[in-house]
Amino acid sequence: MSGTHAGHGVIPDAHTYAAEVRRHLVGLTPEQVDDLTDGLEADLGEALVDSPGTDDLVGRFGQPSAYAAELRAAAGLPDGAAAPVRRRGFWRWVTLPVRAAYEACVEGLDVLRSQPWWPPVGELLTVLLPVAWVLRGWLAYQLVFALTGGYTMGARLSWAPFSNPALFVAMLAAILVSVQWGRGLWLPAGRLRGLPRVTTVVAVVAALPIMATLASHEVEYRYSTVVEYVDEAARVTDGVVVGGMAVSNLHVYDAEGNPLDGVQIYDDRGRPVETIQADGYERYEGWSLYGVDERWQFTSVEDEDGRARWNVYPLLGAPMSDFDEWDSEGRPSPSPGATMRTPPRPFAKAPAVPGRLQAPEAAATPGPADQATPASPAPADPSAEPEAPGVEGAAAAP
Amino acid sequence: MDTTQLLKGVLDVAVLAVVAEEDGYGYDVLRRLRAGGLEQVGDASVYGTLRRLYSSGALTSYVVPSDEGPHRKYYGINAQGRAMLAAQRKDWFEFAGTMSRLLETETSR
Repeated sequence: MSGTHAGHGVIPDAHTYAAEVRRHLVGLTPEQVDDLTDGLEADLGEALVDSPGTDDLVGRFGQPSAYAAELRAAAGLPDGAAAPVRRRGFWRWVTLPVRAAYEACVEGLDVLRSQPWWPPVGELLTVLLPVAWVLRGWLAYQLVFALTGGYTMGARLSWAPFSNPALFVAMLAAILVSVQWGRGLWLPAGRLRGLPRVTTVVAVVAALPIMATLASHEVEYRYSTVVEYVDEAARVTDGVVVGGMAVSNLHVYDAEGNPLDGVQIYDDRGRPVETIQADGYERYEGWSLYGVDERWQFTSVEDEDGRARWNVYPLLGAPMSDFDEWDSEGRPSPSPGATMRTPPRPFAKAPAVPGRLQAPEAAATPGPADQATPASPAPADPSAEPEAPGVEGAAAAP
Repeated sequence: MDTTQLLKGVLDVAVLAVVAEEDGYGYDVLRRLRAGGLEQVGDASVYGTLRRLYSSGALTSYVVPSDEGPHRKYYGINAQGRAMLAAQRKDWFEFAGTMSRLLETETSR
């Protein structure tokens, strides 16, 4: 027949036959199956050589199922049909998907084993098996850590708990036990006999969630440091921040509570106070205004020297839909027909501040104004009041 | 009489005894068992038993290259195997004696 005595002396058909035999050993632990069938291919080949005239494995050894049954019987193991432990209804249901998956895996493996390219691949995987043992131990540790009070020890989920000696030892111990199990040592007996297999299944199932959680934690840590950095940076760069929020516009009211228009605002050093940054995110995406659905974009105004000024409040602007062109920097700019207007004010009139309702010349002298300052907000400070346009007649009614 | 059921419990000690006599590969052990009178013993039983005894540490194993076919895996007995054989041999003689006495009594009645 084809390929007899080829390669390492294992007849290709023997692989198929051995795979079938293993398939019929379902219900035994992997260790038991290994005990019974390790080297089966070679033995089959050897037996064929010793009985000349027969190249047909089934003809020589009978059906694989019968061969498997004989293996079981000689080892004093229950035969296949009786092997599944009779469980009560509930457990049968609970374990059904697990058992189905396991059997599917076993069958899938058999299909692979019968492929001509399997032997070298199988050998490679066998060499890599210890890596899987280490991974299993590590995953088991991570799972136990996540499910029990790992956090109560003040540690966070991490790839390896280098900072916590106790946890690190625990992780190493888990890996050690897993590797020993893999080598067939330290296997639990009695009721816990199935523990290694259960651990394997749980580790495989939990691998993805655990990896994903660890990865996302890592991103979270990085992200949080970035946020801190930006926070720090926001304090020293331009802009007006109130309550941690960047301010888009300022609305200025006079002492009587009437809104002012075209107010220039400078700080105590004469620097323009600008809410909008040249390269801020909002220059591209617009600002969301309180109570307004569409985002708004604002414009600067030119002063008499031809400079674009961003510190003349309230800034004029329009909804983003009126900004359908782009300037050379890729920032939206108003469409030709759009009219720039004052955005909705927070209120039409602010409460009056009687303490600052004084004759224009009195306001200019620092003395009495200083006493009232603590109670009044900063925007009242600039001496812009006299030249401010839009100030209506001072008809104070105290 | 179908002796397969009887064989179940004693195949281990039979294989140990054969291998203790002389190292052998699977088919060789099978042949010697059959020649020794266990004609119904099956391939799978013997090969399986050899592998089981090997993995439980009672046998050693080595590969001998062969010109005509696959390399042959030889099994030999080690100290643990000898101890196991001695204990099981003793058990067998006791058990066989007991059974013989019981059965003789039965038939002589």
